[in-house]
Amino acid sequence: MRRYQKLLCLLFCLVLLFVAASCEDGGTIDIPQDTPGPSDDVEIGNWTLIRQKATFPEGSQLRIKFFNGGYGRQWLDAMKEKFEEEYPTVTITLIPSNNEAEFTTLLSTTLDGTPDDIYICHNIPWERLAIQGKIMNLDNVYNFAIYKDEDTGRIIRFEDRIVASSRNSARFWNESAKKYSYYKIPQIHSGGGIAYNKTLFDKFDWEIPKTYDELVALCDTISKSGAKNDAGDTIYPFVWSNAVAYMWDSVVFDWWAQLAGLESIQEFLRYEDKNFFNPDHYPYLKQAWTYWYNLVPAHQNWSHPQSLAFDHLQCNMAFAAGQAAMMPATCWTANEIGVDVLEEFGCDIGLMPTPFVPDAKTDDDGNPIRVVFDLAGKDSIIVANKAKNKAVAVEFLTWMAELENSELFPANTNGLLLGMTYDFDKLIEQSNRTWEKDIFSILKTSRRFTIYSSSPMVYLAGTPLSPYPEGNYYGEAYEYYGDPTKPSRTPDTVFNSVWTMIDRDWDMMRAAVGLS
Amino acid sequence: MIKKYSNAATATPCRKKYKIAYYVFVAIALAYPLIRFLIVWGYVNISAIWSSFTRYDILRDKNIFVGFLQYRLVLNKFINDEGTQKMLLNSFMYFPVTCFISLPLSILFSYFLYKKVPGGGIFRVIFYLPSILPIAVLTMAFRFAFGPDGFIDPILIRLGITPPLWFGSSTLTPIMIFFYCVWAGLGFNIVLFSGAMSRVPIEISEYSKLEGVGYTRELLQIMIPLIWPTIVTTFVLGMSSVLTVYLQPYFLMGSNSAPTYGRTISLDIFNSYSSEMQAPYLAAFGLFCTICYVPVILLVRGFMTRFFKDVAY
Repeated sequence: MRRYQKLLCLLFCLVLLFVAASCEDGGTIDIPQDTPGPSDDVEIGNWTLIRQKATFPEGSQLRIKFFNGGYGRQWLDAMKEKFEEEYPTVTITLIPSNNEAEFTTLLSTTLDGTPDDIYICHNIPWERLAIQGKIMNLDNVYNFAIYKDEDTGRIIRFEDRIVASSRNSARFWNESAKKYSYYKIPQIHSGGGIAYNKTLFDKFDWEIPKTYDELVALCDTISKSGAKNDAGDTIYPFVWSNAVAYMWDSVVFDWWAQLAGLESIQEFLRYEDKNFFNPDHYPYLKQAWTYWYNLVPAHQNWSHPQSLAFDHLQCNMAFAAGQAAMMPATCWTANEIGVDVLEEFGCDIGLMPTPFVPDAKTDDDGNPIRVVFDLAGKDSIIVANKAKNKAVAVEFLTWMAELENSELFPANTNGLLLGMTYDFDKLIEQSNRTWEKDIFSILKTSRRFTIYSSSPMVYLAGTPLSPYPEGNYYGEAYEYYGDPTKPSRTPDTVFNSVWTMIDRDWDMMRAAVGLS
Repeated sequence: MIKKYSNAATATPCRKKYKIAYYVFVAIALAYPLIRFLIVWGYVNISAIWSSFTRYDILRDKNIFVGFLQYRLVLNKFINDEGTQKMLLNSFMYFPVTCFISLPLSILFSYFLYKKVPGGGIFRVIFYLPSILPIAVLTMAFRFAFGPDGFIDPILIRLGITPPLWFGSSTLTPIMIFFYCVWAGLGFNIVLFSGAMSRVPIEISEYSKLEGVGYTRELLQIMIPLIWPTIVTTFVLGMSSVLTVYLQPYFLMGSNSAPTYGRTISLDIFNSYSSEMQAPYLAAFGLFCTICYVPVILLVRGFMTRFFKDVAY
């Protein structure tokens, strides 16, 4: 009996707590959304370096902590060497870490203590750290004059060196100044799409498809040809991994942007109007997904039979081994597979521009718009507010913005670029790998975009809002295709289900992040 | 003991000194577990409960009350979201797998070892080996055994059987994960049950042998009632796996984004958490599951303790 009394007491306390809690009002958040700035990059021209070089006393230090992941550390080693040559009184200490938590969940505490000077990683919760005043306001850095354009007389500031499509992902609300300020430097900019095995394409005379119809025809050709690689394995049109099925976003989002236009996507990503999730009101994402659905799930024999079972590594290896002609990929794919592995397989890979879908928007000349989605937009470079060597850190960042120095990054990372503008013609000329040449060519001719959003529905939500709020269902759509015993994952059911959920929960989702 | 010393302590200064030393010793002995309990259990749980009634206000950099809002969101997901319902079902399946497959097998194998079957020592090592290897290594070894580069598929192909997608099918993958959990979980349970069985007086076993009691009857009517408290504890621990299991599906499904058919409650929370700003919703999610499930565990425990009376031996 006493046990039940205790249980009842506990339940009563819980109910009291619930009631007390429900009496409170959560209030609302009052941050105006950022407006994306100019979308065009400042083109590199006849520039003269005007950056004022600082001097530092003997024994000056700079500590850079970085996530030792897919981009490797060679680029930082190269920068350290060059910076120390130019600033002989400064010693840079590089601190690699494979523990992502040190840059995400634990960083807030670290920044309170005795932090390192610069942190480089993805998924840093920099918006919160900015509001807390734990990371440095970089407005002054962004205002720093780096070059002078001799033809126009224009001063090229640090801000101009940052790719336009990433600038809004580096700003956050500055409550004291009541404006958006820069708090981070976007580390990466590049693009994704469909990787192709150039060795196989050359061997079998397959041509890079320019349109969706040509892509479908190519897949049909590969599938029917019964082509085999050197090891005697059948070559499938695609290999992909269900564990990282979001790689298909690189293709589907490109089609979405081709159909909707980038301005429309920017509107979508503000997450201010739930009707963007209504496929009847805003059909573009569903249309793009439908193109993918008709290409991949509707042609089960066009995918490597282990695609659903492969993990990311196995998928990369199957592609490098020539078991498939194409693979959905991002900019870091070549780096991830490893140049040495590709050489071992005798395989040269490239990245094709995403083929145009039939109803793609056209530019003023009547050509379909060329866009490229960059999955790698979350990487950040931040400076700790309590850093002991802030001045050296700022000097390092502005030094990095010099063209010659920023080129150390692509020279060491196989097709990846800092979040800065580059002379693509020069990079293409200097590249000796197909992958790099392809990526630089795509970036040169395309408008790049990310799905970064400054909406609180993303950075404050328990489950951050995204274009696919219920999951992207690539794997399920493929597996369940044509199986009446499995739940339906057609474009209609997927997008209607998303809309039903958003329509029903929208107000609650907004309230949960403090939006009225 | 304390009373004895406290009475005696007034007698001489030496005893008094001894009494102080005794209390210092007790305080030191208790300090670590107590502080650990207060931080790891007390602080974490109270903080999670508090957090579940709040939302993070980024401008004020603090959590503020929003009442049941997070719980309403969670409830809404449970009622309306097909993916969440599937995830709950996945999690709940660990209950029968752990309690009605793994546990009986563990008792059976422990009994074999107790009866000193030939090669029992080797089997003990085989059963226990998975428990001492890191889960990342073990899951990788298990996963790679099934697949084009493993050793199972070539055997099947030689037998003329087309190997299925062991870890790529919504039907087979959950079964493979359950199979792994049973295989890897046996060792720990066997250690517990072997310990419990070894405590049963040898006279009982000898007497039953003299009376002509067979192995099955001995196991069911003598051994199980005698080790019943251990079985109840293991059963309850097995039930709690519904709320706690996440590493096995995480590693077995290729680490990155777990497909819907392998998601569990804990894995979902683990995958979703990337910053403290998400804590309120995820805390509400976890607590809601706990509030719903803990009474079931308590009821089952209460029900099971009524089967057999505790026997002191």
